[in-house]
Amino acid sequence: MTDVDGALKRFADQSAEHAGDADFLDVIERSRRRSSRFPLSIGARPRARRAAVPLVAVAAVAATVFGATVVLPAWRESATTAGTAGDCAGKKATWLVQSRGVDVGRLARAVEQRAAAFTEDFCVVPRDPIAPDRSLVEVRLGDDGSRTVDYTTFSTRFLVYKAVKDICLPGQEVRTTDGGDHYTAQAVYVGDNVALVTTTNVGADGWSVSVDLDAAGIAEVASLAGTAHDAPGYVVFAEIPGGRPVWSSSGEHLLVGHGLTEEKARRLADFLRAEPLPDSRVSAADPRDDGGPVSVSSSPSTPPGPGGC
Amino acid sequence: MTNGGRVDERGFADFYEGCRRRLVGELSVVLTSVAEAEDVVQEAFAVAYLQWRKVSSYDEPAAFVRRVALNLAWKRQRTSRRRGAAVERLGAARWPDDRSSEEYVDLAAALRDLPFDQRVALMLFHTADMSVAAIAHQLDVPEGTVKARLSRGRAALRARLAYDEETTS
Repeated sequence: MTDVDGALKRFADQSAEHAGDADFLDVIERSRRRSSRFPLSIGARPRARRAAVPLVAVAAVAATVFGATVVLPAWRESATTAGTAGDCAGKKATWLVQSRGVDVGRLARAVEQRAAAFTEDFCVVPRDPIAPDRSLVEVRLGDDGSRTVDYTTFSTRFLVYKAVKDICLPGQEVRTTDGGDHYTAQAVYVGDNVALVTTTNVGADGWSVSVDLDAAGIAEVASLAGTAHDAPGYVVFAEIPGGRPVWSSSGEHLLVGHGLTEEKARRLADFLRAEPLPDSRVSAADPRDDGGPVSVSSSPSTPPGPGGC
Repeated sequence: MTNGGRVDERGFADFYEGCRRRLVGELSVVLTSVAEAEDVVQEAFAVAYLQWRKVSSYDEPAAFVRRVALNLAWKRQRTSRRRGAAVERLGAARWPDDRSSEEYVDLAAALRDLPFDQRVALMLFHTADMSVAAIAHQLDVPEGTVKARLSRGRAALRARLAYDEETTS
């Protein structure tokens, strides 16, 4: 027994040595300081699961009404996201498009409807290239319209795993690769009519994620990333690769693109404004500007008339 | 999350820093992957944090985290075949890495061939230093079952790693 005993102990010891540093304490501290809520899905899974039910219903209705459910290829290679990763590097990565409305359901459906026709690929950069130890964007809006944007610190690897694991449906597949100093992870989900490709390319170019989901998948992502931010005003990451938005289930705000170049942010904002969203304001802004939102343009909080804002 | 009061975050932080790596090491025996062990341990700590007021009163809070992590590992195990197929298909070389010793690599391969239950038993007994009775209690199985799993697991590892006592003696 002694031989096996010693070998297993050495094995565990070496594994422990290989374990990377975790950001968990920082997550706790940040969440306590900012909202007394827990970021992402840590500890919020039961609530998120419950919330997923109405979200699924909403998404299903949206899919039925708008015919928005898209049968995607089995899975999409990550080449497109790899291509956009460079665009997301540096300061440009902080550009985002934000929509603010009062009816999340209507907003989500409207965005989904419009996004279905939007073919541009956008990447999500939950990992800030400027602060590579941070991963998930978090936005709060004050009563006066001021905005605070920060990034919750999170283990990239953990985030990727969570993203895949918590969207777990039959056929999920995962790949991870540890590239030394630059961690690269890829998560591939393959379902009957759903494809999720999550790629990370951590290094000088930052981090990119691409998600293709059906309605149920969107709801799952929303429940994963959104419901934990139960306090109104939180925004979760989202993107529109091939026209699939992900929305926050909890707040009144919808982030439909992040990690975009300024040009893409403007174009997406223009696109969304072309057919105004209900009760919403669309703006493209640089969240790291301390002076508050740097709106490219904005529409009033009431639905504008036909033809744009 | 902490319904009803503030969490003793300093206490939790000390607890986290004190035993996270050890638990990752232990769970790596079960999951044969450091990265996955980190993930389940991370999530188990999150669960512990949410119940920290209660968990901190336990004689051994780490045992709670270990148990949660094992449950998560078990759930993960159920999808491991698909995951493994993807890893193989996508050609990922993820673990062990270049830093690993030959013994480490061999043992990782040997562990992967063991049934999940045997890996759990080996981990709890050899790396978590739990008694057979305690393992049986935690896993809710008879002690004889634990002994059988340990025996088979050791035998399989010895066979794979040429740890035949006659050879080593």
